[in-house]
Amino acid sequence: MITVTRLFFQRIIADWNYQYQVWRTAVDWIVALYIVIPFSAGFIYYYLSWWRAVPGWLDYIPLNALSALMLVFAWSGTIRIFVEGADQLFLLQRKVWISRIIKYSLVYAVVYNLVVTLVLLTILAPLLLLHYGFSLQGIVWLTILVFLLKNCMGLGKQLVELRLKGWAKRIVKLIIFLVMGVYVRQSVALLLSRNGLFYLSILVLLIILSKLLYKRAKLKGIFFEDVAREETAKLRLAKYMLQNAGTYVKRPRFSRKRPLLFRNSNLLFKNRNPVNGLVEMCLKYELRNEKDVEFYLKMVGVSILAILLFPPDYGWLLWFVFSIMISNVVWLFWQEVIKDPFISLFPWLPESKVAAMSKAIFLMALPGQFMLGVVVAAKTQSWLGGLVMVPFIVLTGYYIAKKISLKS
Amino acid sequence: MELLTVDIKHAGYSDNTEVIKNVTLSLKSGEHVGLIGPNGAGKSTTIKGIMGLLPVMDGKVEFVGTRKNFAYIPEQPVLYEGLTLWEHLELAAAAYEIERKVFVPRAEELLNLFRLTEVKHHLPGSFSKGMQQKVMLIVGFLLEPSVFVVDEPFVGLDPRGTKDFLAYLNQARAKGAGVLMCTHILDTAERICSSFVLMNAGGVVARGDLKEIREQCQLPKGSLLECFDKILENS
Repeated sequence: MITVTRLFFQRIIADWNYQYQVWRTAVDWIVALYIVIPFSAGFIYYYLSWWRAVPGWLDYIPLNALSALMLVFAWSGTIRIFVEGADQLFLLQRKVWISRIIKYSLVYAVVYNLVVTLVLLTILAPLLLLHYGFSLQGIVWLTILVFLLKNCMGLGKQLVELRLKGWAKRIVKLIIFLVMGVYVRQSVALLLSRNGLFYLSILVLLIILSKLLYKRAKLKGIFFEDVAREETAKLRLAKYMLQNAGTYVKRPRFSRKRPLLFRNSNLLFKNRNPVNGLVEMCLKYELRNEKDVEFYLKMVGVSILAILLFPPDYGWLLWFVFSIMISNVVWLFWQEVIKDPFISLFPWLPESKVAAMSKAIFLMALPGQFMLGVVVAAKTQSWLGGLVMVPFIVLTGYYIAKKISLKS
Repeated sequence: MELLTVDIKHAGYSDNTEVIKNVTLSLKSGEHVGLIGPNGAGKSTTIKGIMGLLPVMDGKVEFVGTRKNFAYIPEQPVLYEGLTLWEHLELAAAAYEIERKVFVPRAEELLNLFRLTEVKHHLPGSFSKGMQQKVMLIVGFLLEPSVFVVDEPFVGLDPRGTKDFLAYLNQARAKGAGVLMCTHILDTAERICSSFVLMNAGGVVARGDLKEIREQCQLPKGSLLECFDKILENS
């Protein structure tokens, strides 16, 4: 007879199997032979060399950058609750079952987070030991800190998403992220200076984690949110692979009745033709897509961080590299929008699509390229030079967009 | 006057699976052809073949009217979650380069007809299935095409929506358009279609107007449903 424990483990095994099958579709033996194996061998070689001598480029990466990496790692990921849509027919009446599935899922999430934290810290261990001055004991404590932080942030983020909507949700999440950023920075500094307060910060995190786990386990009336989140988490890898293979993947629903931007369907271009129609559609769709806007800003943020970390001489070179990266990412946005079945209802000329792609990529990438340009100009203290670079930024952005659209 | 001729030798979704074979049909000005058949007969695949949406296709599809334009209204509404209703219409107008002075009054009239004026600046994610289907119909009517290819239009439409849709379709036919409609709702099809193409197992098993279909299955007073049933039993 099936028990709740058996059902839960069946779901975990089924999920691992599913993710493995998704990997198998992308990593066939040719990919394994020519990409995965050489890459893994190269990584192991470099990793072992780090234990002998730390790489020179590490001098450019301050400890704060490493703390930022820990913070991003702790923030990423989802606490998965292994419920399914069909549970509303079969399990929802049996409250004990659902409650135990939630509890098991939380335990699974904590164990999973422990494993991935151990993997990350094992990779970073030679750098921490040989370059940043951590002791072995210090690395163990750092692992505990990151592990607790990852669980607290994952649960905290989920509770905020369940309780708040729209801008309130985003602002609260941003506040949590920033507060935790300061917390991590201070905790790492305390750990390195062997200050007893570090252990207090661990204790605080432990208390917060136990409270959050209890609150999440007891939360009621969120079955459909749990199902939706679980579906998204399960399909994340498959969706990513399908998108890379050029298949249209239906995106999550927009929850608003009326959009925040362009509330009266305002026109962006006066001249109405197929090219402007497609560009306008893409710009509006992306500007209203919170996830993509967030991703874009994160990417620009990380690029700014890199420009700030590297010496000023590298400024414009990095600007060029990141400009190409931004254009490539917005090209992915374009691909997603243009593959929507609604587009196939109309007969578009191929040249209209290419011209629209080039214009859309240029317009979407330009704000990010400008922001990076401002940072480079500020860093090099050459405002006049920065001003001269404005037409250069526009022309280069236009050229990159043109190249990308012709290539595809 | 002929508007559409279809001669599909075979077609499907991959090289080794043939979903439809030897499907021929034609559509004339003012005609309303019902493409009917049981589940899995190949109706939707035929429609996709006509639209050029099938990866494997051996055959010929020709839009031969003077305007040579068509509107495809799919069974499942396909709309951008991030664009408002009006923006969908704007996109359709841009695609066909409909002049603004023609587009705006025509779109307003259609929104009014289908009672969607109030929500024209709303995102379709907040619409019911029927409302989303109405948006698809409005996009189709907006183009004023010579051929309408409609896949299961009644699914999700309320009775008033169905009535308005049929009335507008009749107006378009009176102006010379032709309609190819794939449907399961046989009593409605019997009432509105001028002729039928009955499909089963990927091929055409009967065709003609109701009188001819009745003759083919020897049911002189039979309804379309009864004729349909008899033909499938014998095929």
